[in-house]
Amino acid sequence: MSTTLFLTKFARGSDGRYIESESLEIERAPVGAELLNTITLFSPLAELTVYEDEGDVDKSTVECFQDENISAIVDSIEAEFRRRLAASSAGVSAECELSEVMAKFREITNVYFLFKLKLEKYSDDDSVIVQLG
Amino acid sequence: MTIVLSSSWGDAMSSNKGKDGEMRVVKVLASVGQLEEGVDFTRPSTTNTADMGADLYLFHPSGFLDKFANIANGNAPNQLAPIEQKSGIKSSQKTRIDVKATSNKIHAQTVRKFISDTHKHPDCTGHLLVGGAELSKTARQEFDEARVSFGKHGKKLDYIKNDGIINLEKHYHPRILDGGDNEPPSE
Repeated sequence: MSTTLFLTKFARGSDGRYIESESLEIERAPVGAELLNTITLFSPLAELTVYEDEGDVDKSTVECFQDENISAIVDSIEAEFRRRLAASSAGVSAECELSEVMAKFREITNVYFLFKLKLEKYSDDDSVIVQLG
Repeated sequence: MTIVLSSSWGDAMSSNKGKDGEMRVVKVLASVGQLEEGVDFTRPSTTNTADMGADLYLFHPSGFLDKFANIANGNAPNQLAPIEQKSGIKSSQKTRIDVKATSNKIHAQTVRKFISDTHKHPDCTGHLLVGGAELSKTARQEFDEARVSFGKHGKKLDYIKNDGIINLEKHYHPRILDGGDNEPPSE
């Protein structure tokens, strides 16, 4: 299954509701099962209720990470990157392996950038959510 | 912030759950491949799967995707126009399948990525999003707009929800058990 992390800004209704129809994507980063499992070790998984429109009764659940865990997640990704760096520097020998290593680094650096954006630019903005899709 | 901890989400997003969802679709496609002339599928390398939004590629004759989606949407198979069942029929089209293993609605963000991933597969005429309880209203609107827009360029976009996978299983699996000779039970 292909899974993607989204840094999404939701509009907030007058009652604080999260409104999906006016949501904006700030960043996205595809993430594989292995890295996702590493991240979720450091963050309890959460659900956010979102509404289709202001005043709408239609609602659904968005799977997301809690703001208070973002810093720990960033630290965990840095640790995972160091681990992968050490492991790959000794193991890259053929072109096909290099391609795979590069793809894995691309994945982890993109995911890292997304969480860093949340941490550094939107840490006090609870309308900006790291969600999974 | 109205986020609540979820006890079920952890299970839902484990790697096994995701793989289970994908494998369930694989089982359906294996049955389809056995029963429908000219239909086959492959799984791409796992390295860039998430990047590309392609969990599976389906190879099939022209017109098959409509039949497949109709069965998934609960249309009685006996009322469908049958695909010509004769040997020698060729797989002329390739469809990308993006599987989402979730019991929640599929949201707009996921649909937007699915649509943009379409451009990464110029060799695919079909693009199939599978999984979830249904599309959210916003996701449905954006999906329908994209379907019309891509349709003008000969690309077919479709969506099959979780219930649709069950409909496909009900349609195809009994035929496999019966040796492929009998019509499925009425649904």
